[in-house]
Amino acid sequence: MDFISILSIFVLACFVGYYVVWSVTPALHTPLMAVTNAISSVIVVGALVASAAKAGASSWLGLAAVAMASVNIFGGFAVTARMLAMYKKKERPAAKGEGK
Amino acid sequence: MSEHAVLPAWALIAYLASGMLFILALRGLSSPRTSRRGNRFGMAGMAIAIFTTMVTQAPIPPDDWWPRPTSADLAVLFRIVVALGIGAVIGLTIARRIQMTAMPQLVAAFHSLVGMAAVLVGLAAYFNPAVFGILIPDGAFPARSSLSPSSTAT
Repeated sequence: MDFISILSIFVLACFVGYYVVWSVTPALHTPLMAVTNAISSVIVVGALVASAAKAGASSWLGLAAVAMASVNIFGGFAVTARMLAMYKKKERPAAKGEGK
Repeated sequence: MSEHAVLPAWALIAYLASGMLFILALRGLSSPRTSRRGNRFGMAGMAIAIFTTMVTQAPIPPDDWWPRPTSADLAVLFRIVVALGIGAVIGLTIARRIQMTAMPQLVAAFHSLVGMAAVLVGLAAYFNPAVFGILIPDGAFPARSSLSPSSTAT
């Protein structure tokens, strides 16, 4: 890709990011941070490409990166789901039968 | 496996879809009503990205849209799935056990794992640039590439 396409994508992404998180409820800052972190582990795509080499240092580095990013993917979305489940309990106190 | 220079159109569309799902996930997390749907959008986007990348790593014949994996490709796939599984077990265990009050530190610690993963990907790209398609066909670095180890910033 040439430089101007990459720059265009970067600038558009800046605007999208700015407007998407502009009006976030303060109570949701921590879950938003958690889900942002989970999404940042899309670096797993690069790790998968690296580990697709059949042998050599690059494949082992890639596999280590895949494992680390995978901790973050599953852990990140799971802690976000846990936090959001807490909000649900607060909103509807009638449905507190299955609390742990 | 280094000849995957051109991704099939469906893979590019899938990457676009996963990017859009990530934006919808961030947007969904901005209000309590849509927050859990937003989290699911995020998971879906990540699943699409991982699936697309894993499928398109095996060589794809030029006039075909689906890869034809060899047994060596399947062995590589197996190693990758094992690495993903190890990470999933560790991540889910920590996420389930952690106390709610320790959540900000945990998210920060998770984030440092992503940083480490990015460093390792960078190292892997340095050792084996062909896998990332950042070599010109005869094996040399492109003359004007900023990734070339010998070039200085212009």
